Amino acid sequence: MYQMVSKKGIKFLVMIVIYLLVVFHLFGMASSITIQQLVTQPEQWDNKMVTLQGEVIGDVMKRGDHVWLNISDGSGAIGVWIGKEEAKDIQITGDYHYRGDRVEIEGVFHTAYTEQGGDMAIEGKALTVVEGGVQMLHAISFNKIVIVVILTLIVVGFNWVRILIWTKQKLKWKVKK
Amino acid sequence: MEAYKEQLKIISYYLGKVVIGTGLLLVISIITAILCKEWEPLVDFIISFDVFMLVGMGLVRIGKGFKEPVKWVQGMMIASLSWIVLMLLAAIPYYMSGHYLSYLDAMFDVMSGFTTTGLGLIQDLDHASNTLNMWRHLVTFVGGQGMVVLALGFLITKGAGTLSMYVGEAKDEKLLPNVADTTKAIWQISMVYLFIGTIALTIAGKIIGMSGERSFFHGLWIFMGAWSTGGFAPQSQNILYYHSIFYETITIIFMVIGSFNFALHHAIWKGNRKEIYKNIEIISFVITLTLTTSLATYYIGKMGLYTDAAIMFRRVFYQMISAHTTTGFMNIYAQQFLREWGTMGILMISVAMLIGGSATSTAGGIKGIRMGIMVKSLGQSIKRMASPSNRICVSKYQMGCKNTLSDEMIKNTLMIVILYLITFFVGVTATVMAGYGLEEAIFESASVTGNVGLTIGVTSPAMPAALKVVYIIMMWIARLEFISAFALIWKIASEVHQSCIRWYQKRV
Repeated sequence: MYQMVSKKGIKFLVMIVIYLLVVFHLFGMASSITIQQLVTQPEQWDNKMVTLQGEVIGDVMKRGDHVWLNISDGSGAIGVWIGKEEAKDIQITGDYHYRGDRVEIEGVFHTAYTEQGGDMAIEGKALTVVEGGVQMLHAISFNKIVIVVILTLIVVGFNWVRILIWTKQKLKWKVKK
Repeated sequence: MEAYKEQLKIISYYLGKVVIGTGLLLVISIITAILCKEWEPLVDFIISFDVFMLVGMGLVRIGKGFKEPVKWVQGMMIASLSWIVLMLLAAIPYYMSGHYLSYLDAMFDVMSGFTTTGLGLIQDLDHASNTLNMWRHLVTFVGGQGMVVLALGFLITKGAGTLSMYVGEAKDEKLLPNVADTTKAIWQISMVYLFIGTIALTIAGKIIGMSGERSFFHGLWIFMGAWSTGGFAPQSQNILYYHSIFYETITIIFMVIGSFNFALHHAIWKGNRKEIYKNIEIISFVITLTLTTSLATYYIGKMGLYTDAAIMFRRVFYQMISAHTTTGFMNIYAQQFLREWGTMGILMISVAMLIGGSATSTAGGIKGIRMGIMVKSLGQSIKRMASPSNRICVSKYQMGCKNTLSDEMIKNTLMIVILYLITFFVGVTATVMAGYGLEEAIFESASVTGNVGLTIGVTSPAMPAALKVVYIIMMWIARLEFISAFALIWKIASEVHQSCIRWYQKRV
């Protein structure tokens, strides 16, 4: 009995694995990877569905009914060409003041995206905002302020003494004249 | 001993002036910090400004009261030493920003900027402040014209020896009879183009969908990167960030005109438009660019990556023109060179990087004039061999006016070319010794020697510290075209030698 179940179980598992492989292959199920992997092994992912997460950086550049956006996942950055409608949820993009929205992109990776001038980029199909962007706090250290004050006083003092000496010399020269 | 002190005084005085002149540029970054409400960078840049002023004023104070005029060797030493001192000082705001893993990385970035190389070791560039980006691009913009040229134009207006400082910064052509006027003319040309370029790229930025403020800053910085043939950009993807052929085309225009001789700009401004068709450097540039691009395109095409000819041309041509003008802008990823360009593609782009732009321009490399002189001298030699012994063969070339090719000129040209090639081979050896492949070593070393800035992936914060130091020296020595750097090294070596002898004699 135990052997029967086991054999059936193995058969069942094999069937499921084959089914999943066929489905993944046919419908191009996205695989989650990093930008570094895409850039270093492009031929492995060319024209395949990929899913990647990253922070939207810089600008969301509108071009007709589509946008170009760039996402960074820490390992690198890559461009995504996606419909304006799909990108409408993006609120904050990353720069010095903000950490941009973290998004999940599902799309087709192109080593040379022919329709868009041959960029190595992703043709985005779907975009989900995973985490909203936040303002970054840049605290100024107290030590730095002390250094600024001291150094500025020295520079101003140095110049002040120079001006004093220069004025004195000028006066002397005038008296002599 | 008195003569030695006098010499130190002269060097100290002029070095101080160059430091003050460059330090004053920090005011632009400070204003940017205030306008963009970037308070932490503001504090960093005020500290840096104070340090610049204190060091500069201190050096001027030490050097004040020298009596003798500046000698040729001293001028050369001032020029080469200025770059070292400025590298140490300009790295302060870089390091304080927290975007660099070490002070060495910050100094590497500064030297890369000043020499208009454009290789970077910055971390998380996409989150860098506008203040830091402004300084990075100012460094490369000023480096293109030359920091000593800046000081000569505005702070050291008179005095003997200014010509040696000007020549020491690898600018060997005078636009006007006076050095001060020449340096001012160089700055006038650059400022007019800065205005035009910034407007053009700001409009382009708006058209491709960037916001108003960002399109202005990006326009300004990308112009600075293109004109100075530096290649720095405010985003980690470099030019690929913009995804626009329109934006790329504008950068091509400024890369090309930035790599032209300032004397050529001046001639055209004065109405001598025919010069552009006759100038030996332009002819050399067109020929070598056409040859290297054609060969690279043919071999990359054979690899079958790009199915569309127009797309392939856009990628290959952009990289080749960026290499030949020694700019270093990229619209592909660094890793794509090794994976997709093949050996022939890498060889051709390395050749283009080594040849470089024009003399007395912002570009690096062997320079078009030297390529032209070498070809002309080869032709002259063949003519001499084929002619009767009593016949005198004279070759001429056009550069401003008709110049006669002399044996002295050929000798000097060959000497510089050999020195460039030695530097290149030192770089290749050092890179291979650091554990990289030969193709990577050739590409990266050509990029460093030619002050280009394209990378195949070798230059990164993870590369060995010793290799970073080798690259810093290569960038510096190649940018100054060896002579002034050798003058400094020779002087230091002879002083050390003398000190050793004195110490030994005392002991004996």
